[in-house]
Amino acid sequence: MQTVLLLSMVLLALAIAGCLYRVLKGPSIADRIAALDTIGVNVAAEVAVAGAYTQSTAYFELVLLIGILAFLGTVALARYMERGKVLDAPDDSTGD
Amino acid sequence: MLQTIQPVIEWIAVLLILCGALLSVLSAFGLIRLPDVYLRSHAATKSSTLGVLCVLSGVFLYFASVMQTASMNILLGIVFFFITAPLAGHLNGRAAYRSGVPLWNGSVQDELADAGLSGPPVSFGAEERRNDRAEPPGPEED
Repeated sequence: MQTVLLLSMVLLALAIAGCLYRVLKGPSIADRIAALDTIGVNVAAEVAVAGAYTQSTAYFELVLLIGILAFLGTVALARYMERGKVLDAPDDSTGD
Repeated sequence: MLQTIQPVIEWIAVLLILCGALLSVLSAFGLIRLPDVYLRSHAATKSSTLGVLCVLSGVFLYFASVMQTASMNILLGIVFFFITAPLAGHLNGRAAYRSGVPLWNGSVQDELADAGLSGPPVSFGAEERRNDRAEPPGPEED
């Protein structure tokens, strides 16, 4: 059973390596953002399997944390690519 | 009774984890092989979401059967990934279209081009396809 868990960890690491290829080579920024999002999701899964492999519950907060960070990073990068800025600054011309 | 079915539950959990890892490998394979950012979004979003959901469900079952603890963090993570992973893919695709990433040459349809949105600069051959579609439909399409 531990062997299958270890095999799953190796497969997830292979998936992360494949996404890393797309991050390095991707012709447009959107390719890199999509690959980085997939890397974040796969890292969260890898951490969960590592928690099952070591039979320790200490990793489980990390799964949620990595997921939130990957999602926020993807949203920020996509907005930056689309509009050139991440946050909408308050407009001074409206007079408030 | 519980003692007898516990190995079965453990093996189901481990097989779920293995299936999820295989789906993640397939997603990375599609991310490498597909020709276009809009096509790569399919691989990067759908199968990756299914893979991480399988892995997290397997880990939840594993801990519920081995350590007798139901981890609420994993359940929250399942719900969170189920919501946010397709959302991030959609945002990325929209931003890619609006910032002008070209479509693949073999793309057969661009519905947003008819909607009058400022689309990407059309790639090779897409211009004449648009002209073809602008013509009145032939009698064979009836």
